[in-house]
Amino acid sequence: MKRIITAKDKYAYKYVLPALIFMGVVLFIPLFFSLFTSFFKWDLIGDTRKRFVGLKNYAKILTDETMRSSFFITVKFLFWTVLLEMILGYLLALFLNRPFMGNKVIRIIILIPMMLSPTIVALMWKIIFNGDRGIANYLIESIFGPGSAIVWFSKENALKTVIFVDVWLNTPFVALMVLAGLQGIPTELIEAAEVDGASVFQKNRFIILPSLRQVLLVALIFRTTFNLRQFPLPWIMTSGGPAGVTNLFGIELYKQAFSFYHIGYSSAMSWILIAITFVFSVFYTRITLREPDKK
Amino acid sequence: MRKVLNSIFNFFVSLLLVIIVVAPLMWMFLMSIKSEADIVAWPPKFFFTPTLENYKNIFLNPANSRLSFSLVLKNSIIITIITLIVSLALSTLSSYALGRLKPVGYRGLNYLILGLRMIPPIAIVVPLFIIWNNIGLYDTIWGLIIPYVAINIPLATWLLEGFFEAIPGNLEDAASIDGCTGFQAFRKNHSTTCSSRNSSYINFCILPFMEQPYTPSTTYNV
Repeated sequence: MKRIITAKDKYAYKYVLPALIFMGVVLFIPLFFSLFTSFFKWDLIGDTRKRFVGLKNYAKILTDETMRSSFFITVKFLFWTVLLEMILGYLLALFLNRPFMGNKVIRIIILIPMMLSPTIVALMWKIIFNGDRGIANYLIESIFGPGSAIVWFSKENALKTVIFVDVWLNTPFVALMVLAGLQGIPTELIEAAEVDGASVFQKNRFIILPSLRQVLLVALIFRTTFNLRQFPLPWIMTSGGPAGVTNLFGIELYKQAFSFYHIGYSSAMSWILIAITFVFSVFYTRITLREPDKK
Repeated sequence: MRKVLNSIFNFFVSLLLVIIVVAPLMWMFLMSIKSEADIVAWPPKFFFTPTLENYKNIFLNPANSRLSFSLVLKNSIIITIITLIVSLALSTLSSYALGRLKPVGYRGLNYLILGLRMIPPIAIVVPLFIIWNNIGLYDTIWGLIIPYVAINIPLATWLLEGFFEAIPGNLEDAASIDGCTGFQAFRKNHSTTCSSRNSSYINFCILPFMEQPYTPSTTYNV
C-alpha cells in the first residue's frame, strides 16, 4: 500500500529532520568510525601504528581465553538476573495489584530503587557488604553466631553479590510494567474464572499470563539487553575482580579500551555487542510497534 | 477469617518490602551523619550523636576529595539542563510529526529511532573518545552534552509520541480555520496541550544524567 509523498508528508518530515540529523551525526559517525577501526590493529600505547588486519580482531575475540570466560560470566549473569527479576517482578506486581490499605504508599516506596543511579546503589551495597565493617556481616553474626560471616566479594560469592544488587535495583522496573499490564486485564475475565472455581494457580496460568504475554515479552527483552551491557554496578563493586569472576562483557570492553588502549580490538568487541543487541532490538520493536489493524 | 488472614499477609509482605528497599538507604543515610570514629566502630553503632560534619566537608573542605564537590555538582546541573532543553526541543518536533502527522514511512522512522535507543552507549564511547580528542571536545562540557542529547532523543521521542497520539480531535484543522500557519498550529495547540506531559519526560531525563559514569570518565575529566 505505497502512497505517494504529498506536500503534507514533506511538511511532516521537516519536523523529524533536526532530530534525525543530530542523531545521524552523533551516533552514526562514531559507529562507522568504530566499524572501520575494528578491522585495524591500533593501540594508543606501545606500537601505535595502524595496521590493517582484516577480521583478525574478531577471530581473536572468538578464540581468546579471557573473552571466553567473560562471555560465560555474562551468560550466567544474564540468566540469573533476568530470571529472578522477571519472577520477583511478576510476584511483586501481583501483590501490588491487591487492594489493601497503604497500597499506594507501598507502590511509591517500591519504585525508589528505580530512581537511584546505579553508581550510588553500587557504593551503598559495597559499604553494606564490607567484609570487616559491613552491617550485613554484623547482622548475620549476631543471628547465626560468630564465625558465620560471609566474605561477600570472594571468588565464590562476588558474582552472586553483583546479581543480588542488580536484582534489587531492577525488579521494580519489571513490577511497574507488569502492574500496568495487570490493570489492563478486564475484571470480568477474572471474575468469570472465579465463578467457574479456578484455583489461584489456574487463574495465573490461563488468564493472567496469556493476557500479559506482550508486556512480559517487552520487559524480558528490555532487561536482557540492558543487563547484557551492564557496566556501572559491577565496575564500582568489583571492577571485574577477584580473579576475573565478575568480568562481564561491558567491563572487559571498557578495560580493553581504556586500560590497555587496544582501540581496534575494543571496537570489534563493541560491534559484537551491537550485533547481539540488534537481534534483541529487532525482536523488541516488532512487538511494541505492532499496531491494531483497523485505523 | 479469610479476610483477617489476608490483611495479616498483606501487612507482613508490605513490611518486608519496605525493609528490603528502605533499610539499605537508611543505613547509608545514618553513615552520612556519623563521625569518622562512629563509622568504623565495631560493632556498628545504632545510637550515636549525629553530626553534619560530612556534609560540611564536601562543600567547605576540598582537601578531602580530588575535586571540589561544588564544581562537580555545578557541572552536572549545567549538563543536565542543557541536555534537557536541546533534547526536548528536538524530540518534541519529531514526536509531533511521527505521532500526529504520520507521514509516509513513519513506521520505518519509528523502527529506526527505537533501534537507536538500543545501541549500547559503551559502544559509542570508544570511538567518541578518539574523535573528541582529535577535534578538541575532549575534557569539555559539550563533549558530554552532545552524546547525552543523542542518546536521549529516542526515548523522549518514543514517550512524547504516545502523548501526541492521545490528543483528541483535529486541532490542525481548527487552527487552520482560525488562520494559523502550520508551525503556529504546532506551537499554540500542541505545545500547550503537551506542556504538562513534557514534565513527565523531564523526570525521565534528569535521572540518567548521573547514571553513566563511564561516559563522563572517558570523554570528560574536569
